[in-house]
Amino acid sequence: MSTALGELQDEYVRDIVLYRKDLRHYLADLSWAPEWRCASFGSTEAAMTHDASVMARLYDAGWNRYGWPTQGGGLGGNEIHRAVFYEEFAHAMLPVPAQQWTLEVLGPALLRFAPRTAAQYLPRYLSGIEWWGQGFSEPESGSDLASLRTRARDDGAGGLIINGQKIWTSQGATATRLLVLARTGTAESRHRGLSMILIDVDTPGVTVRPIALASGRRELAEVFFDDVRVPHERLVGGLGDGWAVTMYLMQYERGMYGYGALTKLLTMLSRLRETMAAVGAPAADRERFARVFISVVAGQARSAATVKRLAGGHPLGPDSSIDKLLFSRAEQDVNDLIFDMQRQLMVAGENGGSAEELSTMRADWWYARAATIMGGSAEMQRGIVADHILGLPKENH
Amino acid sequence: MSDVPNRTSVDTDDSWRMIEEAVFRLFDEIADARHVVIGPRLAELGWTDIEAEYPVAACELLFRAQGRSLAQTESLSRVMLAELAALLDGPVNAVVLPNVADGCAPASGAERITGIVAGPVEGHVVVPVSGSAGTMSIAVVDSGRLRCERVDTFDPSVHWSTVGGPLDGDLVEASAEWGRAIAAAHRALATELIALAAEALRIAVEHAKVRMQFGAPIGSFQSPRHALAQASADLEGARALLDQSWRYGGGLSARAAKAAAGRAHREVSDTAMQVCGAIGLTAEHDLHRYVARGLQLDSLCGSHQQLEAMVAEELFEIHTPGTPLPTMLSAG
Repeated sequence: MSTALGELQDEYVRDIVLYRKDLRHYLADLSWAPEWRCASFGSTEAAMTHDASVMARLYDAGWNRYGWPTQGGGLGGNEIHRAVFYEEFAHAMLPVPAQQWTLEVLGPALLRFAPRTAAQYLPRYLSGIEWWGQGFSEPESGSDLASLRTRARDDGAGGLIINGQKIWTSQGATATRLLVLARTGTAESRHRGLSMILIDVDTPGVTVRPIALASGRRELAEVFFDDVRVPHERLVGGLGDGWAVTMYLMQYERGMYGYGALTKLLTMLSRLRETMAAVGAPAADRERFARVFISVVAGQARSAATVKRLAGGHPLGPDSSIDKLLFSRAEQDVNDLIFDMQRQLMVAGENGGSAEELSTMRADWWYARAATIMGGSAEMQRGIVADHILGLPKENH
Repeated sequence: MSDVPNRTSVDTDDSWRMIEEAVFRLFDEIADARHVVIGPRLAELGWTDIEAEYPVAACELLFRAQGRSLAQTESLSRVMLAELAALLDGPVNAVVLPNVADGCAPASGAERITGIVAGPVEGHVVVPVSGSAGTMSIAVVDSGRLRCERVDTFDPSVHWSTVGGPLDGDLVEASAEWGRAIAAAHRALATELIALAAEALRIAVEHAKVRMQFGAPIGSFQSPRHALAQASADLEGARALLDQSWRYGGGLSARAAKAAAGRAHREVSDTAMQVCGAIGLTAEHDLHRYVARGLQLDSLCGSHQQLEAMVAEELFEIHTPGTPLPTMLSAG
């Protein structure tokens, strides 16, 4: 089974078991899987370029197009297909191309609120030709997102003029478009006066400055908007709908991205097990491994139920903050475990493979620290759970 | 097993809701008694039909009701005996469970019985016996021939008995059946632990809403808010894993689910005891009952530490290079 296109397409959409089975065979038989499995790079840019080529191959074979509607370049199916796609990558112990993560977060909102734009660009996303960044946070608006100040002003001639600054955009250094949340209402309008806009990075007035994390990798970026003009058609949702679009998008960040992230952790644990088994790790370390494995699987169980709710068309409520708390901590637990089990390699570069491999491992550890900060910090999530799930009195500032 | 109704899918079912209420009532009625044989009362509810219609949900409900009511019944033996039924030809009252020190590995040998019975010992008991290479056999023994002693339990309301004596019944090979019985026990105990933790959390949340300090309810201060929220998240993770384990079965999944439930119960208890302050540690306050019961049950058929160690052994024993970790669940 080399491609998922053609006569089997309808069957894959209907029959998730068949889709899984054939995807599993595809990944198992893939001639370039070993090099893909071991590929590591010294920079985020090089890694993104490599991953884009993987996206292209998966798109050509059709496998990453299931779960996405045909009008967005997909082949049909729903969120379950996408979850199974990630599960099978974990089963094959293969890394998921990084573009998939931002696609999971941004794609559904585009499809829902800007179907024409989605039809135009999502096929390019799925095929690795382009990827986008999320422009929400600002230097003065982190956890307090509704205070953001980047402005979009109607120019009266069918355009919006954007001024301001965004920061902490994942994949921002290489992204070609940005989904930007901007203020179109009064300064005091908080979440009511926001709009969502898709802005091309090559529009005059856009300046992207990559941000190197402590690992040295330019994982993030800040973006400056200086009288950037985009046509009204680039609005995602209506004027003033920005918060609703954000809330819709967050469901996918908590649900689909979360599920994918947990399956990635399973791949990392499978690989770590090989290393630990090879060196005969002591019982205490193996027990810690089991403890972390169980907490990852618990998070996965929670997220699996969430994926099913999304696939069933049921909107997620504040309880998705529980998913986020579980998967973000699991991400840190796994990366801390890897650090401690391979400490000699991590801190002294001994017993390891290539410089690129070591650089990637260290970068993964640093990036995992962001898991409880980005997309709403763990403190924000605990506050949401306290308010809306436990019904505790509002916080006393 | 994926077509079997589970707790989530029966949530919207009205007749199921009535069953749930009836079972909660039943367990509440016997909550203060020491140890009650609940079989006849369940039979009055038409339990055989209920089990036939909701095989998984009905079993889960028993232990959820038991946990929230703090009742003590023979339910654990009941679900384990159901898995061993094909090997038993007479009535059996209870299962001899592994000693606390032995995790979930029975220590009875071909000649000597040693273990715990959850509850008073009566009639006949099933004794699991470990053989070579991980095989298991069972024997049915008249408990009148055994030395039984009440255990000095951490939770003084719990009635456990240690049993010991010579093994004189016939041994029947039961490796597969015992594996299923212990997995059923793990899911049952995990369900009870989750229910106990949920009650402890509920008590702490209620306390945080009404306990005033510095002119405000302590639930409006960030530290207890966040502690309770994190405890709630941990509990929900364990609950989700348990739901999956009920749905798909399997030994490893059951061990992981009970380990997660035991750990979550401990974490929720820690938080609840801190948030409730000194009053939560008193005999007159209810919190300690849910904490102590959980600590007692966590120790049955393998504590969370013992089960984690077992899972570790399995993960590294069955490992062949180039293979992924075992698949525990799926969204598809």
